Amino acid sequence: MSSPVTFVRNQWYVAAYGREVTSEVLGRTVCGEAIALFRTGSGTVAALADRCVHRRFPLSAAPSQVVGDTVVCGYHGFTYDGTGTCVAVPGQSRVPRTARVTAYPVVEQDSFVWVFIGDPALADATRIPRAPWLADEAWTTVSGMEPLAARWGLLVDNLLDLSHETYLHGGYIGTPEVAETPITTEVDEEARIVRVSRHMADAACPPFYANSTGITGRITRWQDIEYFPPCLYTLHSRVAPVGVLPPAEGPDDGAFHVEVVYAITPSTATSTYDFWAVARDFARDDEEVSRFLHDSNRTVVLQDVTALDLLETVVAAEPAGTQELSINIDTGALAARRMIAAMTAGMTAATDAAVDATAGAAAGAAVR
Amino acid sequence: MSTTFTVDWLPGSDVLRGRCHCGATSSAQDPATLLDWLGAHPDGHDTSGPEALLAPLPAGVAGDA
Repeated sequence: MSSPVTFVRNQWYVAAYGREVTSEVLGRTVCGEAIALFRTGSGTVAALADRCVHRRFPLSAAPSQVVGDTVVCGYHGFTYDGTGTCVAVPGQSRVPRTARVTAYPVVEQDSFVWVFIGDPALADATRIPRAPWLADEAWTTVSGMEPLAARWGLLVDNLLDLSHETYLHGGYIGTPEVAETPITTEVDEEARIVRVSRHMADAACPPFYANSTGITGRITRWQDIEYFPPCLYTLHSRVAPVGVLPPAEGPDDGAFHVEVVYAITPSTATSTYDFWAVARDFARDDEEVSRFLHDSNRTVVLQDVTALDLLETVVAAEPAGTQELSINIDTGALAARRMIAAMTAGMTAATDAAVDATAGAAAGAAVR
Repeated sequence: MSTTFTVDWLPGSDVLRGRCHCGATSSAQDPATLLDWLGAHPDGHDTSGPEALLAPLPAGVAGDA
């Protein structure tokens, strides 16, 4: 049997896009924990254990429903407020003191709904990594989510090594230069960020960028990854006509910028939510470009889904201790694995209080 | 104090050059080996300073020393 899958607890995870959480209860399983998400009548997001304390009926299952600021269990009517406190039961006025369900710390930020998995006392919202472009009017964003029937670590491996674009995503985002160009890997152990950069000075322009930017010739293409384990991955993509570099001062107006964001949320041991978003600073009002980038990136994500779902069946069936081979292109993914392992073991050099994720996001903006 | 280390894949070669936040450097042609070395700070490598190049680069490979 393959190695067991572990989840990193005491961390924030994306459970949904804000737009998905409405007065209809949404059920999501994050790190093996079933969660019922709903938007109260006052507009805030509540995240409760998806299991009525009475007879265990899922609060996300019909005919459970949101009424005002509460959710009413569809089986016997137990009614919970956003803190998980049961405020009404059928047929009697006394609500048992123990009638409550777990409420998860929840933050709505950068278009995502983040929930904290672990000890609620450790839920420091300032540690949530940022993806500000997704909720910034200066950027136009397309996004989606595709479920994976694969363990979350496979998606981390996939995204930290973009050389696979050349082979798996040829004709969309892959060109020969991606796999051919050496990478630089940077590991910030204190801030818990893994950065992987690949700067292509003279590369073919893949259809994803040619059709969205209008560039017809070769390009200078920079890929600067920042991964904030375990959940948030950002790719700062800079595309410009070949030879056009950022000016020493002032805005980088000669280039096109795309912020590609993934939230890697473990669901069960062998399933993962693959949230993806593409934000751009050009053709912002062009709906045709939006449609093209949405459809193209979704196609790319589905290519990954097909590959990783297949890979999961292979990994799940292999004997424990089966060896794999790593080469230079894997440096970032290996560094990410090590950081995740250290976080899982609670052995990171930095204390939780010392971690400043917002500083990391700011540094990411500077990379571009 | 910085806790950032870097691994550069030297252009035109298969060599990876690692630089620890303490200034020590090493090179390898296997990322796992180099990450082991970097992650072992301070016990696993010489911390005497930026000149502590533990593994000489192959002939013809330009380093950053």
